[in-house]
Amino acid sequence: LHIICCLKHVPDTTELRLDPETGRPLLEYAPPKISDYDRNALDEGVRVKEGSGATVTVLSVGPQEAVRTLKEAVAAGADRAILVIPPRSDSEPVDVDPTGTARLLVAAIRRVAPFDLVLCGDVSEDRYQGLVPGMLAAALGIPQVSAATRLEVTEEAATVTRVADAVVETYRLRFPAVVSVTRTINTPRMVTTLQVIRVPTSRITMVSAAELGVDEAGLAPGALATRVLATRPAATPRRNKVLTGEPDATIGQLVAALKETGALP
Amino acid sequence: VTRSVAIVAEAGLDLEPAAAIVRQATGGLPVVAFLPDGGDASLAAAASAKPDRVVVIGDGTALPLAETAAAALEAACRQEGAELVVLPAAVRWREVAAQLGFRLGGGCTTEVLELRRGEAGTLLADRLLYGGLVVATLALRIPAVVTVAVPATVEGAILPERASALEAATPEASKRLLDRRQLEPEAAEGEAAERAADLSTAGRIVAVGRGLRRQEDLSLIEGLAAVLGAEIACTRPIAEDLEWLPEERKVGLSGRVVKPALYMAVGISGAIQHLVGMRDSGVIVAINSDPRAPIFQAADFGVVGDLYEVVPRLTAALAAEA
Repeated sequence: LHIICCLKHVPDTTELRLDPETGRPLLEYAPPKISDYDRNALDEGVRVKEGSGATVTVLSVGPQEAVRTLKEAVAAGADRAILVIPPRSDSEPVDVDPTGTARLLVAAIRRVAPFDLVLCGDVSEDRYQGLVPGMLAAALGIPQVSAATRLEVTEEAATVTRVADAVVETYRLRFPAVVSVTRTINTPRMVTTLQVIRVPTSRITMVSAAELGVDEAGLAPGALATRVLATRPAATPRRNKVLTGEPDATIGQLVAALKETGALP
Repeated sequence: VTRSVAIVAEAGLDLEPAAAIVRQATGGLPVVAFLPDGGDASLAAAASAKPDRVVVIGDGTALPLAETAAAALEAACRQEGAELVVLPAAVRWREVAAQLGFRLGGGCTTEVLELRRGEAGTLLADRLLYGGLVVATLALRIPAVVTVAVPATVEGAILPERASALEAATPEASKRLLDRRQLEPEAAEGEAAERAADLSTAGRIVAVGRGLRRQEDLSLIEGLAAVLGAEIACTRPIAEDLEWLPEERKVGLSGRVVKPALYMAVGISGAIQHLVGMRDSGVIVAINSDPRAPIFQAADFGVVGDLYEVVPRLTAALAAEA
C-alpha cells in the first residue's frame, strides 16, 4: 500500500496581521507551518501505515523554506518527502494557482507511482479554495471524495464517511483514489522541535518544475489561469462601545442600546 | 461562435443571488441553466435564475459522481460557448468545480462574493483569503469556473416561457463514464442524515464559545436564546473539539456564514475564522471576561464580564421586558 500525502507550507493565519498603513497582509512576519487539514491528512496516512505497513510519501509545492515543513512531516512518520519548487519570477517564487499546483503534484506523483491513495487536506489554511484535490482527481482520472470525516483502508479500497451539507454519506472507493479530509478526522500528534531538527535535510528531495518535465513558461505569473491581483482589508467598521462596571448597570445600558438600534423592539 | 454564461441548478436551491452576480459581470450574454436532472424540483431551482435557456446535461440522471458531472458539464460548456460557469458552493459541487476547472483550463475559484469584467479574456472575482482577513481580487482566465454561496429555495418558481424547452446535451459521453462506477454510494443512514438547523435565515442568534466551562452550562445559553427567540450557534472548538453542539451550528469560515439582525457572541474570543461567519450581522453584541479579546473590535456593544454572571441577569432583564 502506497499513500501519498500532499501538504502545503503556509503562514499561520491566526498570527497574520495587516500593515496598518497599506492594509496588506504581513505574510513574512507570520510563522510558517503545515496547513491545518493537511496536517490531519498526514496523520491519517501515518495512522494507516501503522496499521498496515503502508509507505507514506509526502509531496509539497512550495519555496525552498518549505523544507522545514517537510522535515516536520518526516518527523511525524512519513517515509520520504519531495518538495517541488516552482520557478521564480523577479527573484520571488511564483504564486502558483491551484491548476499549476495540481500539474506539479501530478508530475511528482507519476515519479513516485505506483500509488494507491492520495490524501490531501480538504482546504488550505491560507487560501481556503479547496480545489487541488478535485484537480488531482481530474488530472489522474481517478475517483475522489472530499470532506472526509472517517477513513478505513484495506489493500484495494477505502471506505470514506463524509458530511456533505448536513447529510452523512459513506463511499467505497477502489484504489487508486483521492481523498481530502477535514479536521474532525483525527487529532494530529504533536512533533517536537527537537524531532524536526533531527531529520537530516538529505531526507527531503528537492526538484524543480523543469526537472519534473513541467513547462515552466506555463507557470509564469502572466500565464496562470488564476492570479491574485490585489487584496484589501475585509472588516466593516463597528460601534465598538464597551460597557464596563456593575453587571446590572451594564445590562441595563445594553438593553437600552439594543432598543435604540432597533435590534430589540 | 455562441457565447453564454452558465449556472448549474440543483433541486432545493435559490439561484437568484448567483444569477445577479453573473449578470452584473457578464451583462448581455445569454444565461443558460444546466440541469443535472430534469425533475420538477430542479426545474424550479433553474427558474429562480430566470435563465434564457435550460439544458439538461448528461443522461438526465442526477450525476452523483464528481467526475461524471464534470465530464458532462465540460461537454455542455464547450457546446454552449460558456465563458463562465457558476456552481453552488456546496461540498459536492466544489468537487465538480475543481474537476471542471481543470478540464476547461481556465481560471477557477470558490466562494466568490462578486464578479466583474477584467481585461480582455478575464473576469475579476472577489473572495476572502487568509482566514477572512482580506478580500482579494483574482483575475480568472475565460472560461472561468466559480462557486457562489446559494440559499435554500422557495419552492415552485415559474419557468419563463422562453426557457420551457429542455434539451439534452451529450448523453453518450456521460453514459460511458457512469458505467465505470468505482464509487458506490451507500444509502445515507436515515437517522444520521439530519437536516441542518437553519441559521442562515435566523433573525437573532446567540453564539457560544470556549468561555463556557461545561457542556451542562449550555442551559444558560438556551435560556438566553429562548427569551430572545434566537437560534443557538457556536464556534469551531465547541463543535469540532468539544462536540457540545452539532457541526451545523458552527459559525465561521469552516461553518455557516450568518447575517442575523442581532448576533450575541457569548464567551467568544473572536478568532478571525469565527468573525468571518458573523461580521455582516446587523448588530453584534459581545460578552467576554477578557477586555482585550478581539471580539470587542468586531462588536457594536461589548459587556466585559463573566458570562456566568452576565447571561443569567441579561436573560432575566429581557424576560422582564417581554
